[in-house]
Amino acid sequence: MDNIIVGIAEGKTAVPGQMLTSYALGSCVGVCLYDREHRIAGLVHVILPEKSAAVNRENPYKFGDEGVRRLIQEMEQLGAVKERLTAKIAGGAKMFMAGRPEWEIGALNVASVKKTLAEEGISLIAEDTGKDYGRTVCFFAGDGRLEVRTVRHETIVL
Amino acid sequence: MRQVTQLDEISRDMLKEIGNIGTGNAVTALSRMMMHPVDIAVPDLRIMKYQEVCTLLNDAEELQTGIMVGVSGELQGMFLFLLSETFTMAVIEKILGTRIRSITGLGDVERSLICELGNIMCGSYINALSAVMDMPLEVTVPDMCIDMGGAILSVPLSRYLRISDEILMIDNLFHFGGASFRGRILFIPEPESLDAMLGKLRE
Repeated sequence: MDNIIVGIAEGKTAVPGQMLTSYALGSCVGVCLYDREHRIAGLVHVILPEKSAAVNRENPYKFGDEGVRRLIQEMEQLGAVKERLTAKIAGGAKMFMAGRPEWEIGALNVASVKKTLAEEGISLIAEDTGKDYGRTVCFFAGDGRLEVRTVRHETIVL
Repeated sequence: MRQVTQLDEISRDMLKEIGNIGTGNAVTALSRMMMHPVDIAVPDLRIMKYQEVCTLLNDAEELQTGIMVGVSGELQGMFLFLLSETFTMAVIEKILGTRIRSITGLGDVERSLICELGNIMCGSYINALSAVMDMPLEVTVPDMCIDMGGAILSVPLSRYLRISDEILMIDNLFHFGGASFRGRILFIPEPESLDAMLGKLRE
């Protein structure tokens, strides 16, 4: 299967026969959108909650709000229908337990992504977020399956 | 605010020297605790685009021990120690005499040893820094995380990405025995603190 790697602050799309992978999400969130009828998948790897929080704003895929919106547009260009999209999300961990709150933005990333999905009318059908560990996500365009891999726990399928 | 890419050669050399002095002290403390020599590589001043930060690792999913310590006072920033799995196991074996198979299930004793090690190394680095720059510096309680290296690095990354797409890190590698027994100290000063640091060093 063709594996497309989605790096930090990237957003990519896939069609059946392809999978999208984001490695080692910590406080970052992997947002997976899927149009089941057309079998079009999209994954964005966001690192910051909102565009307004950063000085350099050129790349929309850095942000939970702008990143999700841009990914929807990209998928629509491939023929996906926004009203049919569903979402699965993973990541947004708090890696260091006693860390300064301003250094741990996992929860903020998750909140921003959820708010944006709600505003765009996309239903969130599964999530594996928060807690204190890193996750690798593999999103399969053929059936919309999302595998979440960690170093301590069994791989889960959403 | 100064853009990190605009640093001249002299400033770069000064920052590298800071890394050299700090790491020298930190690694001396480590080798005393382990009663074993630890080799230090030449320091690197890295100015990396956020997309490149994971290239510090062989593999983003590679298991690493991360110890994070914050610096406050006249100089603000973050220290991140990254120890490979074999390095972490060697430290535990040398100091506690216990042999472990994996670092994903460490007990409280092993965890507090590693955390304390980070604390001592960081304290040594900071003391050297504080003396060279004649600045009083304070450090936070160290915090530890054993997980995928890429996930650990996302914490400093998201912190600094708000301010700049490029991150300046003073990077020092150290080795113990074979090549896989590898550790590194990343010192990431806040961009606002760079001018203060360089000013002090030029005095």
